[in-house]
This record gives sequence, C-alpha cells and structure tokens, in this order.
Amino acid sequence: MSLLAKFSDLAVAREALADADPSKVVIDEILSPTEAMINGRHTILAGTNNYLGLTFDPDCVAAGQQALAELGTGTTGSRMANGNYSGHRALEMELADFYGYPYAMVFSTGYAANLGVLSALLGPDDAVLLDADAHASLYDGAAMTQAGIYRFKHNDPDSLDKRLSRLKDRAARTLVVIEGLYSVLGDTAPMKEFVEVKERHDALLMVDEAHSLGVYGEHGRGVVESSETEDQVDFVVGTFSKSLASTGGYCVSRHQELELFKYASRPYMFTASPCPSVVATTRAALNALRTRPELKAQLWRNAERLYNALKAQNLWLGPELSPVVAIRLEDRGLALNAWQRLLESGVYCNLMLPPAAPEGGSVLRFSLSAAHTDEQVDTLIERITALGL
Amino acid sequence: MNETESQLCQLLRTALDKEFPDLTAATDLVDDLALESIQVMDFIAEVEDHFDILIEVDRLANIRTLAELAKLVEAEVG
Repeated sequence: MSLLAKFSDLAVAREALADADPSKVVIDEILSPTEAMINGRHTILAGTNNYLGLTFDPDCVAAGQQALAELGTGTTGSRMANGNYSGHRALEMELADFYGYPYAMVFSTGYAANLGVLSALLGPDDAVLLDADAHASLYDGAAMTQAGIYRFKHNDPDSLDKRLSRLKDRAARTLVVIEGLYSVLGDTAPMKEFVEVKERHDALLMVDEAHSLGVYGEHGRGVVESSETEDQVDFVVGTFSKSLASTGGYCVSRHQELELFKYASRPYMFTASPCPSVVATTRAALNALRTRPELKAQLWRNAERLYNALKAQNLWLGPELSPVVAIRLEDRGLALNAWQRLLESGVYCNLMLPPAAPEGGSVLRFSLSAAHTDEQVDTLIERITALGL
Repeated sequence: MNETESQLCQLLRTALDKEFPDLTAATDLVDDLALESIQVMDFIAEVEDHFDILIEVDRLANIRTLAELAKLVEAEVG
C-alpha cells in the first residue's frame, strides 16, 4: 500500500460534501472587516474572529505601510540569527507591559506559540493535562514533547483534581492547559476553581487566550484579567490573528525562566521571524485595544443582540453569552444545508462538523465584530431566522 | 468476557446513553459502533474515573477493541 493510499477515504468524504464545503469558499474581494464578495455575491462576514474589527484600521494600515517602506518585506531569518529586529523586541516589551508581567516572547504564529512554549517547557519526566476541548495546536504542542499527555473533562475542576491526585508526586511536574474562551461554543473557563486545584497540587497553569484577548477583562487582558487570577496563572499564550488583526503569537509569564525558552524552543528557533510590517500593525492594534475601550463595548453590544435574539427562538446555543455565538445541530445534513443556505443568502459563518464539534453534533458558529453595524446584526438575525431551524 | 470487559461494556452504555445490545470483547469502538473520536475520548474519561486510573492519550492510538482497552485498564490498575 502506498503512502498516498490514506487519502482515498478523504477524497470520498470531500466528494460527499460537494458544494457545501467550507474549504472551497474563496474571498474574491475583501471590502471591509465585515463584508466581502464571495461567488459574485455581497456577503456579511460573521465568522472571522476579527473581534475588534481592526483589519482596515487607518492607524494599523499606515503603520504597516511605513514598516514595509522602511524595513522591507521580511526579515528572512530566525530571531536567533538575523531576524531579531528592534520592532520584535519592542512588541515583546509592550506585551509584557500590557499584562504587567516581566517577560513576553513573540512567535511567528499563534500555532507556533503553543508548540513553542509546550516543547520548551515539557520533558520526558513531566506531564501535561489538557482540557478535553483544548485547541488542536495545544494537543499538537503536547505531542511534540515526550511528556505524558492526559485529558480532563471540559471545564471540570473536579475532573482535573482527580487526575492530578492520580499523578501523585508527578503533579508537581505537571502543566495544566486550558483556554480562556473556547472558540467552538463560546464558553469560558472557571478560572478561580482551576487555579485553586493547580495550586493545591503544585502544578503550573497555562491559559490560551487566543479568543479572549481584547474581548474579556476591563482592560482587554482576557479571562485571566476578568477572573482576577493574573497573579496565579503561570503562562498566558495568545495570538495576533484575532483581536490584533494580523498574524503571530506570544507568551507572557511572571516566571523569569520564559527568557530562556528561546534556547529550547524549536518552533521559535527554526523559523523566520514575523515580517516587520506584521510587527508594526500588531503594535498599532495593541495600542488601539488599550486606548479605545469603545471597541470592546460595541463588540459586546453586538454579541448580546445576536445571542438574545437566537435564544428567544429556543435554538440550542452555547451555554453563555459571548462574541462567539454557536448554534448546535444534531443532524449533520441539516447543518451542512443551513450553512450552504446562509452563504447563498449572503451570510458567511463557520461550520464545525464532527469530530471538530463537541458532543458529536455539528455547529454553525458566528463570531461578532466591533465593526458589525446594527443593520448587519439585524440582517444576521433575519437570515438565521429564515432558516427555520 | 472477563469482569473488566463487562464493566467497560456497562460504562460504554452509560457514558453514551445507548443500549449497544451486541457488545462483545471484540467490538471495535470505531468500526463497529461508528463512534466519533470525541465520543471515544469522553468514554475513556469515564473509564479513568470508574477505575481511578490515568490513561495516556498516546496509548489510546493503538486501542480499537474493548478487549484491548480492558488489557490497558488492567495494566494501569496493577
């Protein structure tokens, strides 16, 4: 059997999707943070993770243009070689200052940040306990290490507690990994309870705030801020590709050892550093996040309108109001059909099919943006209602 | 079917809230029961709690049948 034989099942599955295949969607023209032309149709974008709507922000765009002109198109090197520019260092210092932690480390993508932190931190004598619903990048990062990998039930501190107890002495060499906001159903972690459990077992806690940066907390520092656990969490990882409207990732920590991770992190060392223009737009977006609280306020107003309108229709939604609004559907065919009909009506959202969706169902996922207008939210409500789910 | 395999069958029915009338030790969790990977992982979490053990995620890659899972459980219980 050849190496390529494994793709025959995938080919059959793809054929079965036909046109209801999200991977075939092409953004022919991007018009704004919330609008695009898709298949010749003007489409409202409601599945972009562009929470603060900064992709066309004039200050961010200007910063990127200036960086392109002054610093060129790319660094063409790793941070450990010729790719370490003053802008990278400045961004790290600004992230550390934003969080009030002494150290920050920037990676080329959010995916690389998770692989990079986990692979630097964990070795064969260690263990990692992942929330069942943790993102693929966290599982992939754990797989890169030789640590023992275990799961606990989603958002269940008691399940975590039992498993740390079973690890006995090894609990003190364990990293617990959770997310602040889970991006499929839009639920948040019970942070204080998780912190209490990990402290009792002398474990460390890493929180992936990819979807919660700029969205939660009075200052936009995420669920760690809103739960008042910033002094107890050990590592926060995040991405620039959602609220900060670019690409890249980071880790911040109150532990001075983070400064040494760069010597032990292959995803940091063996890849080109972020382009200067990406660093510049990210810095401008971080500044916007810090100085324009009205963006977060508008995001939550939009989220509340959509969530409450759908809740009133008795749809199966995620368990709590958040800018991620998820409609769960048992029937896979119904979900595919609904997603396709929405797209044809001029609304783009994300479609999660098993095994990507929890509990074996399928999910239509909407992510709101501060840039969605009232009229666009009205249209979303109207088009989803018209599906008759 | 030994005692561990019997307990696993019962746990499977409880965890997934389904009758599964034809379970045997040779039942393949994915091919015979059409379980999604996420459902298998949820079942494993129940197995861990029932037997008070931990099962490494990596070790599950080679487990397909209830008999194979039972052997793994017995090794962890000791």
